[in-house]
Amino acid sequence: MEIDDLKELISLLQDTDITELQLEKDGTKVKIRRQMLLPSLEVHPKGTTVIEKSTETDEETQRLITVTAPIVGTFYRSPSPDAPAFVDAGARVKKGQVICIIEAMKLMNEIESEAEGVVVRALVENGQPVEYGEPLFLIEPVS
Amino acid sequence: MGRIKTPGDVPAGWSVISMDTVDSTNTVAMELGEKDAPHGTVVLADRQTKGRGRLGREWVSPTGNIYMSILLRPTVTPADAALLTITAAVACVRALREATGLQVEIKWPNDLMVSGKKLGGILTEMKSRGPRVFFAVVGIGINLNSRAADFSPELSATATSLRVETGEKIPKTALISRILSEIRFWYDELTQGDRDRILDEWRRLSSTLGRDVRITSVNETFEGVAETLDKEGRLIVRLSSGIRKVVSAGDVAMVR
Repeated sequence: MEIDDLKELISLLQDTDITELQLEKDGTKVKIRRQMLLPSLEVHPKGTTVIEKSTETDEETQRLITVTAPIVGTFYRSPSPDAPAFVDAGARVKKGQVICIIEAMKLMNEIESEAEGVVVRALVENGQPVEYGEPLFLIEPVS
Repeated sequence: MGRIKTPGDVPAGWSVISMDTVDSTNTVAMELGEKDAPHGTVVLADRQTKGRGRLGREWVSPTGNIYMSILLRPTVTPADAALLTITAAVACVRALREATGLQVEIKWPNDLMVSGKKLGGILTEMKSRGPRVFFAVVGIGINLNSRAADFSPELSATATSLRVETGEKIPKTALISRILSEIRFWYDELTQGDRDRILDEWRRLSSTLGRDVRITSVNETFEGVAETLDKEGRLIVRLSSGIRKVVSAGDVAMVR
């Protein structure tokens, strides 16, 4: 089985609802597993949630990256109560830049941006509790 | 500064960097974390000039106590690593009880207490991006050989040291080795997924559960009974109205 055969198999699956396929040919076993794309939200393996298609199919929102909470805890927008926020709406952020802190049981988790881009919106108020996976920021990536 | 101790003092594969004076061992360990220093690098100092507590607060750090930060590179998710402070608190209390015989207890989530006074504390700083933890620094401060007279009048009402409590000078190196070996053991429990064992041990060593507490967070203050610790390590507080609050951050005071 050649690479081109594999590519063809994958593209054949693309318009179907099949999530798993096993095939044996000429002594070679192939197993293809794929994640179905949900119409609205896709949970990215990297922990970000990419908004695929909103109901308004707004060109802008389609491109936005949602930074989500990796832990449960209390959300802080600044390193200490009297310090300025790490980022505000409109701020340009670099990949790896700290954009907020979540405190959980005296562990301060500095959350880094996963992409270079512009902060479109901060979604959580300072000092609020957040749950695992809760959206924190919308970032418009720049490439 | 900068003598590297021989293995034997420290868990296998870990190393200790010992310094006279630093601004903060956590700051140094965070910088080492950014510079790819290995998992298990321990930063020790005799004295800190800018010891840090939670939310930028100061940790008073005169000579003679333990100021130590451990750089870890957890291979688990941020959600699991979020129990690091709880894990370190369990390790420290066990080591301190063994070394001194004192009834050291944990006040939620991270304070090391004896006779209702603070003996030490733990603050962990972690950097993550998406589902990946880059590194975490567990900072530990323990009042070891401070004398009663070393504490300011305000501080002596709420703080104490092992020397004040036992009347003896405590050998520092042996205690540090004991703490590190406990931390290594409980850290392995955490990364092998045995969160329940850590939480159970925390509950056993805690003085907070079952007590009337006042919680002060950034946004509110309330009182209730500290009922239990949930699976994330959060404190469940039952208010007099019967409503239960889930606390992940804040200061806890015991009330009568």
